[in-house]
Amino acid sequence: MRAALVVVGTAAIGYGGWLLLSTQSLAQGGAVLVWAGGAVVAHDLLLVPVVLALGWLVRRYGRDPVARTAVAVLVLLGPVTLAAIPVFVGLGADPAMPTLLGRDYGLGWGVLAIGIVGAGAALAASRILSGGARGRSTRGTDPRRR
Amino acid sequence: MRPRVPRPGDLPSRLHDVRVAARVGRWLGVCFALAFVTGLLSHYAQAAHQPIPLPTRPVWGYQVTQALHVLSGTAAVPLLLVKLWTVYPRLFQRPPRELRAVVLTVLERGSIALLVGAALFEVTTGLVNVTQWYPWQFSFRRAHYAVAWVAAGALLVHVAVKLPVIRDALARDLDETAPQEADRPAAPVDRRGLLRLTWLAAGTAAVASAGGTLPGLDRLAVLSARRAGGPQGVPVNRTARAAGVVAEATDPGWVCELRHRDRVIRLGRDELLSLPQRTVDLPIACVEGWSAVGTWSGVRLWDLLRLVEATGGADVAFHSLQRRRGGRFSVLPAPFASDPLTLVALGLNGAPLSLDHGFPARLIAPNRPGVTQTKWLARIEVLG
Repeated sequence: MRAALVVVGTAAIGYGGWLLLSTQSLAQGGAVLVWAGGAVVAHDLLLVPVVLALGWLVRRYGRDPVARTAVAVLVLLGPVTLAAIPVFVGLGADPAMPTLLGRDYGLGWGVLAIGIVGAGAALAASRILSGGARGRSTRGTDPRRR
Repeated sequence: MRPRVPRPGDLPSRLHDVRVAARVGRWLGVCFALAFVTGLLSHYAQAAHQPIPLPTRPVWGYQVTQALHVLSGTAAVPLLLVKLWTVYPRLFQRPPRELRAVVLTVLERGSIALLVGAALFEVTTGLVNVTQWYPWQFSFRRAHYAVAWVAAGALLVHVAVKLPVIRDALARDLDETAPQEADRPAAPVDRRGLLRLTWLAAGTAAVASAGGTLPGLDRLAVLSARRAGGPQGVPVNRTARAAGVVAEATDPGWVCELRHRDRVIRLGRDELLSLPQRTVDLPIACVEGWSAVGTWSGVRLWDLLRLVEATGGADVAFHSLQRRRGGRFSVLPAPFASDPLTLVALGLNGAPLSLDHGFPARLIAPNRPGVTQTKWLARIEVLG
């Protein structure tokens, strides 16, 4: 099973690589590598260290439930904000096509952020984010299920 | 203190845990599989030759699969970021000394680097592409497709390598604290809480950034690159001006040429309007994850093809007045050409087709990619 997955997976990687080489010029293939490699570098050396630093600040100075709210807001708002960078940049906009990039994204983000802070505070006040093992059903090693 | 390369132990949070990674990874795998399969389907639907034609029903098939493509790809963003964050300390694990172990480690790390690079490439280029912004020199369509194969393959290798670890992690209780990790600091949220936040974040990203792909969610999709509406109630993805067809499309002498072997007929818009008119409700859907249902009116394609003595069973090529860029040419597989719902459309939602929607005439067929619903028709040719 595992060996079969490795064989199929390696074949798919090879096919993808062949597609890249055969359908794109060398310069275009190089640009793909730059974007993929650049994304890894930006993620590993910039984004994650920033998130870790924020996490450290929250642990160091935050007190519950503010700390829990901060973590909730980070997880809920961070990824959706990163995913929206292209619409904030908005370079594809065309006045002749009102349905493309035709929203007020600053306002939309603001409303979303307010909603997420509210939801995060509500979650932090409940036991949904940090209830420990108290009274919860568990999986696997739980003797009650064995 | 001298700076040094970090070690896994420098990041002691209990949330950096294989049990979290495995649970997030499971849903990330589901999202990637959905995006991969729906992406393959879209590429196949756009192929100039389909050895096995796709079905013409349901009429909303392409609309739904491509909404799924964009929704699953967007939901994957929080899942991917949380997954990578939980396993981040492993980046600093020191390599083993024994040769065989070194080779295996290099192979494993190499496959992970490939997976992470391909995964980040796919979500980044996908999100940028839906805004019609192309800040790169490669072909988005081809590169996104090729790298999808790399990502899928690297994911299979990764799952194969990690299978025993994944099985063990999924079987273990999330709340249990092993004795060796008792001195690791607790985070403001526990592992179960982080997972709940992650699911919520995936749902939030999907609705806020891609909800416009689903009817009823458009108002919640505050960060979507698209919104409902547009001229005649249907979005436009390329204007007549951008396609460079304004002069030819508004020329009163415009004719659409129908060709089958040596049979050639040329019909102007008035002549097309004098033929029996049909009205159909069909969605137009783009791979970029927007869609709209329109009420299209015009001549049934099959009625036109019979004028040039087509007998069915042949694919049909559509040439646009457009000379360059995508959408200038498409091939409609035989089953779609003889489908009673397929029209050469002359009107949309009760009005003549607007210039940006393909005036004087365009193709509209059920369950087909928007880019193949050729606008500003110049020539229709029965192949074979």
